Amino acid sequence: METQMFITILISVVQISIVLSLVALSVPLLILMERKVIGFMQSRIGPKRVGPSGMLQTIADGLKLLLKEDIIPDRADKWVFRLAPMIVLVPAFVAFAVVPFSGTGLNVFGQRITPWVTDLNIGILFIIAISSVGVFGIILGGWASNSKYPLLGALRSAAQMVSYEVPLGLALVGGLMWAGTASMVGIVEAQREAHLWFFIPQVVGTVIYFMAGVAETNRAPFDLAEAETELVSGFHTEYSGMRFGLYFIAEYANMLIVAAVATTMFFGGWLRPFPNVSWLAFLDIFNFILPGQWGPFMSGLMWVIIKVSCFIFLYYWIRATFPRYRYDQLMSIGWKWLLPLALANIMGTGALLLWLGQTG
Amino acid sequence: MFRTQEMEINMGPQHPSTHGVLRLKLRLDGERVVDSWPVIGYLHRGIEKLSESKEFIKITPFTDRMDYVCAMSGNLAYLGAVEKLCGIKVPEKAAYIRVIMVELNRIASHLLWLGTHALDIGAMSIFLYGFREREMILDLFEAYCGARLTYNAFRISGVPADLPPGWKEECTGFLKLFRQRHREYEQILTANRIWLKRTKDVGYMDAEHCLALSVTGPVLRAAGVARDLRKDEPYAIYDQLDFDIPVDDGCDTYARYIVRMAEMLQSVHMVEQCLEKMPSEGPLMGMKGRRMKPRKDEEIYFAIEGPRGEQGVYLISDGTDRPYRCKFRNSSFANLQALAPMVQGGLVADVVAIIGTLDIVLGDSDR
Amino acid sequence: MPTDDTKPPAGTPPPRETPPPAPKPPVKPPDPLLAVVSCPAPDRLREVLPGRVSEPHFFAGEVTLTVAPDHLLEVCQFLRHDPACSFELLADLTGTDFPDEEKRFRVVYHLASLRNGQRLRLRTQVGQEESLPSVTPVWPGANWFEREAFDLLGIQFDGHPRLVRILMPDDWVGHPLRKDYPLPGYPEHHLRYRTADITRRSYVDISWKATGERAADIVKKYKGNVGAPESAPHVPMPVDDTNGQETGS
Repeated sequence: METQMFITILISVVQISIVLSLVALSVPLLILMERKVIGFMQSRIGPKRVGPSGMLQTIADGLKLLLKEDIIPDRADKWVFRLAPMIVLVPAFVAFAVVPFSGTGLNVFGQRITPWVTDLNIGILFIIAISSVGVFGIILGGWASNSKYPLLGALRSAAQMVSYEVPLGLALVGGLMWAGTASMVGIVEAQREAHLWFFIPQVVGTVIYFMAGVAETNRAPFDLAEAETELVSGFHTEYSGMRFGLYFIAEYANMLIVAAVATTMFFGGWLRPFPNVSWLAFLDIFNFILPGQWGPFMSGLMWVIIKVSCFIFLYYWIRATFPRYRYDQLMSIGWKWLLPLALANIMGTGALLLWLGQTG
Repeated sequence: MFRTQEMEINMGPQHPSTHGVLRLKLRLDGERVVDSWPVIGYLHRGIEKLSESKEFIKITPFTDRMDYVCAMSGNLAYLGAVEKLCGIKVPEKAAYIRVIMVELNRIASHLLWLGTHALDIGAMSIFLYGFREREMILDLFEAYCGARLTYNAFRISGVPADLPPGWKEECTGFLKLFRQRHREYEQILTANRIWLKRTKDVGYMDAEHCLALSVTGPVLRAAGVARDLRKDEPYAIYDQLDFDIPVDDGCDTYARYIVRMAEMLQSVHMVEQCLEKMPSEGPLMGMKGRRMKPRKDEEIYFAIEGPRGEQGVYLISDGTDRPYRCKFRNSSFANLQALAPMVQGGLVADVVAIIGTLDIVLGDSDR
Repeated sequence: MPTDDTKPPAGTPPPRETPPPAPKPPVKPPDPLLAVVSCPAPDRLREVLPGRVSEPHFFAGEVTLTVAPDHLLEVCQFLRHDPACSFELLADLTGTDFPDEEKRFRVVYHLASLRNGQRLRLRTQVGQEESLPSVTPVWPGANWFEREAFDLLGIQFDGHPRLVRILMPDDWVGHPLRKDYPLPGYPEHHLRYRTADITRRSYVDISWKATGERAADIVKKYKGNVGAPESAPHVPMPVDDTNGQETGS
């Protein structure tokens, strides 16, 4: 009995460490990808000196940040100043606990290891709740710096988060109504059973979700909180060294979360396109390459990674293309367009489901 | 209710979007600008004082260092003033070469404006696209005069050298490419909804206020006044060229964007005409020797249409080959006065858009 | 001399045999730079405000009028608003130092009319102790130009909204564009910002750790070379109490 419990805990620890390290390792990759992608879009090369074609550039940057002097402003609120980056970083990683990375688990030494840390039945709510904690770190960081530009950045960030949390959550409600469950795994399973990705009935929801998600992660064109050309660097103007690095990592982890939720909710998670069309089964390419349980596992992982990468690429594409919104315009988009649209989407979805329930 | 407090904030002199060393003291109510006070002079190098102890020809390099984004215009304005003071005629071919260089430099200057202005507003890629084409122009300049930024390409009464062999073809090729690229910029920005939102009705200033504040150049033309010294007081060979003055009556940042974009195309058109009409043979310098003998105690003011507006030079002679007084009327200095009224009541994000739309060069305003 | 390609008719004698023309009195051709150009402004001023401005001076196609400081504002108002003149744009305003003259500063106003396509230079003289009326009521854009003239030459303008230095630092001594300004500059007069006084904190002098010398010793050692600390009395950091209260224009 005790052995069993010990093994369960051990498995969880292993899962957590794998997920943590996966996310932590993917951040340098994302940064490299961003620089390469945007470099390509801007007709330049991007990093190419460190390592083969610049592969180690972000590692070098990370090392530099680690070794840099940690400057805390003289008049800063020192404890809050130190605490704030952690408040941003921790929720960004915690949220990955419920993200399913693949469909089927692995059996190792007779123990089943699921490709998610835990499958909460309120998975989506958990992610929304946890990721809104992160904004406190931004506000506190801007406030604790005791400097004017960070303060402005923090205020912008606070207003932005408040206004975009709402459409973000509401946009997911439509999908939840289709799925009938808030468990991340359950949502994907519902899509398998419904024979369609929820992206198709929830186009409006997907678009609203992604827009709000971009705003939520402070990325262009909604990167008002750091708005380099306006507020120098916004809330993290006074941060340096690894504390700045923590903000940086958290930003990318949050992007991953937004992309992962979109993947799970609207794009069928680990499912291949058209999971019910059998002649498309060859798309699950690892099923034919790898033996036994590894095939489905790797195929699912591949689809998740591909879908998440597409979203991340969209992030970069938008960043390379659009100018930045202004503060008041951002607010008016959030409240005057996204929120009513999200509500209308819920109404429409409800009506559609009712009608389908009656006819079907 | 709540007690609110206005916040004072220093934008610059080291700020990513104050284009050098402009310092702007802002008083903010939340994000709204209540009051502003521009502080300049961080790049003051005393060029006017230095000029008083230099021969006329030795002042030309200083003019490069004022408006370093469009040094050819600075050269032309200053040399035109000296030529006017001494009554020197410039040979036709030299005048053509000068106009080619100045117009190419205008394109380069507007490209830099476009890139930095868009970058301030957050559109990142156009900055690099603009610099890509500017690089080609700089290559052309390098092939002509050996310098990429501070050209010192003209001499009193003419130009020192003919266009190098093959230059014309290269220039024609660039112009052809540029027309195509220009369409790309327009595709990225002109109908972009965010760009429209960020620039429409931002930094509004109508013609009356522009004139009252001595604002000239594209800012004035975007207020509906067709003021262009190339047409109004033609210098060099502008009276022989066929071109339009782009005018827009939007009076806002977007109108200035439209005007400058159209001006680039007009400049392309002008350079094409110049390359075509330029005499293949002919003297390049209108006078021999280097000693100037201006009349004693006379003063002249000569202005050209620089990329930023009226670029004037005021010279007082005392009969020697050095100016008694050399004053540069630089458009950035005058246009910067419009900054405070424009940002009044706007948001912080508008401030950077307005700094960008005024297209200031701090070396130009501080001298 | 233009040459004629056609040969002279056979009957006429070759040109060199013609008697040389009578020597003309040496008349210098009129300098094209001094040509008179048409400009309605002097005539209008003579009509409406007689005796305020001098006769126009023409050089290189430019018209210069001299006006006494007392009439300056009146003349400017007229030139700005009279429909025949209508100089909407003050293109430039600047001063020049003539230290040998009785009134040492010559201030010029370069006016431009967009409606009539005219330019005009208005010139006035002002002494060191005197002041000029500011033309900011007529052209608000004169604001910075007048600040610049004040900064670099020390010309006072009455009625200017806020006549402070613009190009030189606020604590600069002297006006550099004056001809008697010493070219190496005056001895150093800049404010020394003492961080400890501003932040009201004491700092530990750690300079000796690096160099083996304390900062105070270094200063003592180089005292002769780096300016003259005694001549620069400590001035507290200037509190700009007018900050933003009255901005320009």
